[in-house]
Amino acid sequence: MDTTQLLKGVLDVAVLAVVSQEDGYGYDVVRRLRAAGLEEVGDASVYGTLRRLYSSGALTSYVVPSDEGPHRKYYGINAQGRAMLDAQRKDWQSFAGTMTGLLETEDAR
Amino acid sequence: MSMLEAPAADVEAYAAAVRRALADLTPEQVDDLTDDLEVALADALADDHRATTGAGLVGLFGTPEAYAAELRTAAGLATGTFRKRGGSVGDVAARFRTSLLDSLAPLRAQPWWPGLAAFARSLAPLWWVARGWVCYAICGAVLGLGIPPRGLFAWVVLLAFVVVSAQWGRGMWLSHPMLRAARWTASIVAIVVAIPLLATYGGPQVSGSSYTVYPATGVWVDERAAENLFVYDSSGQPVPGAQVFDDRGQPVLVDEGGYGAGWSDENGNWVDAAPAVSADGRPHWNAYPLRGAAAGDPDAPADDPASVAEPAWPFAQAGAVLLPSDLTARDPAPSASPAASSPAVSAPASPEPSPAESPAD
Repeated sequence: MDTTQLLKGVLDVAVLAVVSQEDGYGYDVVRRLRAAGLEEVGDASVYGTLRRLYSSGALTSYVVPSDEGPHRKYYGINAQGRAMLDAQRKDWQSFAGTMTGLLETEDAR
Repeated sequence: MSMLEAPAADVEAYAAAVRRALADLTPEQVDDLTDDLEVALADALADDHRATTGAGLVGLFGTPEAYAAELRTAAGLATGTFRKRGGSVGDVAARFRTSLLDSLAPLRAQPWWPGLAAFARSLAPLWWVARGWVCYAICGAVLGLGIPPRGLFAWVVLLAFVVVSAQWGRGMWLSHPMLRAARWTASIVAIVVAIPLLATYGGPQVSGSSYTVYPATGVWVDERAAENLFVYDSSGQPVPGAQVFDDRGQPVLVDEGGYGAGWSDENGNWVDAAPAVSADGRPHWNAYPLRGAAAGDPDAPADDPASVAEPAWPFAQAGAVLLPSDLTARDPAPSASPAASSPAVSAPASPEPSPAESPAD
C-alpha cells in the first residue's frame, strides 16, 4: 500500500501531535515524525503543513536566537490547535476503528 | 561541525531554485514559506540518520521544483487557488502557465522531455536579452533614440532594459506584485512586438531602419528600396545598359557601393547583381538594369554570358511619351497625349554619358 497517500490525510494531526508534546522548529518536527515511524514523510510537506497550521491559527510561532548556529523559528500549539488535535484524534480513532473492524471481518471470512 | 559549514553554496542555489519555482506567489507568501529554508536544508544535510546522506540535496529531496511543489501543496497554496486577489496580470499569467503545463503533460511524460526542457532553459538568458532589446526598441521608437542605439544615452537606456529583463529572468527585482505584473506585461508585449520587428530586420535591406535619419545611397519608391531600375525610351522600348546619373553627375546606385545589390527571383532565390563593365574593365553599377551574377559566383565577370542572369523587365514595352521636339512638330492638341504634360519629359538637358561605355549585351 502506498503509505505516502495515507500520510497526506493524517499529516495535520501528526504534526499537531508532535508539536503538542513539545515546541519544535521545522527540521526538529521532521526528525521527530521520522523517529516515531513516519519514515516517508517529506520535509517540504512538514514545513508547508506547519505554515498552514500557523496561518489558520492552530500554532504559535517564535524565533529563538542562537549564538553558535542560525536563528530558528519554533512552533508551539495553542488552544485552538489543541481543540483541533482533539477533534482530529477522535476522527482518527473512529476511522481507524472502522477500518480495523472492516479488515478483520474481511480477514475472518 | 557547523551545520551551515558544509556545501553552503549548494544550499543557497537549491533554496534560490525553490524560491524561483514559487515566484508566482506573493512575496509575503514566498517569505513565509521559505524564510528558514536554508537552515532546514542544512539541518537535513547534517543529519547522519538520513539514509541518503552524501547524495546531495537533489538526492535527498528531489528537484527544487518538486520540493517547491510539495511545500506549496502542503501549505494549501496549490497552483491556481493561492491568490486572494483576482484578475491581476500576474494572476492571469500564472493561470495561463498552469494550463499550459497541464496541456503539455503528455509531452512532459516523454523520456526526451527533460533534455529538451534543460536545453530550452539554457537558452533563457537569450530570451532575457531579447526581451530587454524589444522593450528598448519600443521605448527608443517613442523617444527617437534610434535602433540600433545612437549615442551614449541610448546605449545606457538599452543597458538598463536588458539588466532589468535579466534580473527579472533570474527571479530578482520582483518584490512587489506590480513588478511581477510588469514582467508579464513586458514579456507579452515583447513577443507581440518582436514579430513585426523581426520581419523588418529580416529583409535584405540592412539600412532600412535608418533611412529616415541618414538618407543612404539607394532609390526609394513607396518606402521600399528599389533593387533594380528599368529604363524605357520615349517610344516605350526597353533600353538595356542605360546609365543613370543624378543632377550632380553622380552615378545613381540602388545599393551602397554596389556589392550586396541583388534581388529575389521568381523562385525566391537571391540573385547577386553584377555590374556592367566598361572597355577598360571598370565596373559600372549605374548601368541598368543590373544583371545577375550566377548563384554562388558573384565575382564572375558580367560579360561572361554563362555567368549572368537577365532580370525580368516589368513590362515588355512601356507607354510612349512625346518629347518637346515632337510637340513643336505637331499641332498643339492637349488631349492628344496626357503624358506630354508630365514633368518627367520636360527635362531634356540631362548630361549625356559617353555612348562608348555602353555595356556589353
